[in-house]
Amino acid sequence: MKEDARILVVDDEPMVCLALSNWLEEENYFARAVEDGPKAVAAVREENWDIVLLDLRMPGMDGMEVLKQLKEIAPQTVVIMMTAYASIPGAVQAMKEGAYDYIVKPLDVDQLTLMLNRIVEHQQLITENILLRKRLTEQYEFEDIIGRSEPMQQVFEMIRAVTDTNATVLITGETGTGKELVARAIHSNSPQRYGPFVATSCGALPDTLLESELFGYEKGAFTGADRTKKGRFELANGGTIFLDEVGDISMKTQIKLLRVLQERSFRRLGGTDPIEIDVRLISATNRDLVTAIEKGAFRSDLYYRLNVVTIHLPPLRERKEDIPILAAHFINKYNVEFHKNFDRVDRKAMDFMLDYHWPGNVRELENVIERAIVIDQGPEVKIGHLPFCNMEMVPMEEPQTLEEIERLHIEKMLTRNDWNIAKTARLLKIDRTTLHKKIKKFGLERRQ
Amino acid sequence: MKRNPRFIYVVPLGDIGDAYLEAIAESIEENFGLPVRIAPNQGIPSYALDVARQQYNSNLILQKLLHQAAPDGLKILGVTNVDLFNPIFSYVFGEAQFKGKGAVISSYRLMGNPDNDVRQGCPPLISRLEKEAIHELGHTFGLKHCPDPDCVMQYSVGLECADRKFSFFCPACRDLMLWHLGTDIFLTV
Repeated sequence: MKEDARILVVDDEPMVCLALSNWLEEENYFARAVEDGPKAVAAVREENWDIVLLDLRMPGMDGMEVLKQLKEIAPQTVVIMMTAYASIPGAVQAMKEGAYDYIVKPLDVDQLTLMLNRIVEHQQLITENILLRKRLTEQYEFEDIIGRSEPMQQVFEMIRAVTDTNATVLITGETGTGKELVARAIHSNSPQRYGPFVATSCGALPDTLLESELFGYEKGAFTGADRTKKGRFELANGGTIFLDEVGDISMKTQIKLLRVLQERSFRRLGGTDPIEIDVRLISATNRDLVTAIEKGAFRSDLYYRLNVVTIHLPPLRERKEDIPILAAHFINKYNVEFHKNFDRVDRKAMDFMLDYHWPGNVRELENVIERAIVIDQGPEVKIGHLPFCNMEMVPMEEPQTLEEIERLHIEKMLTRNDWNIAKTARLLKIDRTTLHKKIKKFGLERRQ
Repeated sequence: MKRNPRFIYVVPLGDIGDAYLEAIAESIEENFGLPVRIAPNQGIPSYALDVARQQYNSNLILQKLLHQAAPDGLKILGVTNVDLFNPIFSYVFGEAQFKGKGAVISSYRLMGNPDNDVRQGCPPLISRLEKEAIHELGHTFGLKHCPDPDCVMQYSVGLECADRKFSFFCPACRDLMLWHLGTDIFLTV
């Protein structure tokens, strides 16, 4: 477990950075050193660190200022101040600001060893405790994935089964079903969880760009390569790489990818030295890869490498019993984000939602709820908030006359506001009497 | 013709008795299966003395050892009797270049309490020096600290812990060392 602990060293003396990070590596920790406050803040923003060994006195942003920022960004990270004898009062002050402890330079190796061991053991207990509580109380949730339906419970089981392994996972499912969420859930529960999670959408990039994105390039590898750039595989070293839309990559890149999976090493574009990597690969696709293999568009050997374990995410229309809890989850999420007080979905709106076929899956449902919360005050999500309802109500033929447009618009606004006359009149900027007259004139009736 | 580096050199630096050096050499041969040569004594490493701390900077000693390394030296182990420190720690028993070539150890802190007999050179000091030598050389072969309390690669908090562990590798560290050894020789040939 100790190998999992990640320690960031922050000291303006390069020799301290080097010696301390070397020693920590020998001690089986994962260590990285940075030489100033802004770099430390950036490192904590980018990655998770269990412990930060922070020098109190540094030019520019001093240790105290760095501590304050670190505690805001990552309050769970343990910060140990390193200080000279003369600055002990400062270190004590730092403990009041949230530092775990301080250690005097030059460091006592035994004291530091015992301190780090104690912190790691404590953090392991906290992690285990959180996991146990999570399993007990949130049986319908796995990380950010929600579902009580049988197919989703099976998905959760699959995720749990693969988290403790290093197995390559292929996630299949229609667009919007949450494939990246599953990949993140696997990563954040796996032995690689302290390493980076690097997601790449293979379909979004042209072939040549994808290659340089995945494998990086050496300076001068091609016109415009004015510096050496690390690829996604290198950036993901020690963690997980998630290749989305893997079914869209070209045959040429497929061969390169296959080689990486076989040899666990690769070369940057224009490079000669092989770079060894220790990365877990999770890929996803909304395509039928077996059909793609039959058509010669996807290599079967790569497919078998990617497909060690498959997790299939069902479309939302096949797990409609999850729609109410998903809606509740998104209402909570966007209430917090937009400071609103929505608390339910209107019964009729829910009927529509349960009838709808959701081609955009969970992502579409999330967008619908978000839009409702953005444009209205609540407390209910109503039929008028459902764009697919409005679409279905709009006649196929475009209205020709101003009168037709007026009728359709009034009808739409009344539906959206659940036939609240005062509110609709206010939005239309007409008085209530005029609205009543128009309802009568156009023969509008409230649909049950 | 270029000579393949295959020896582990033990380089005495100061007041270290021949009996200690021979015991260290024997233990290294036993653990690593490589021939050991004891180099001439280079004397106290005065160039590494930090006047303010009255201690000797192990990094500077390592640098000098590497600079003077014999071409057939696969690894070099400095053995001294002076008090060592490095830029971060108040003192060190020894220091090694992780996956590198050089290491240095000192008998100074291994003597323990000056009131007991070990200062006079009774067996515990020899045993501690052997363990420290194997431990630091282990780091040069890429071995990290081991959780097995009996293994020589375990990090010992204090001399009591150091005395409890054995002067050889646990099976896992031994396998790892042999693997690194093969890679190391292969790369340097």
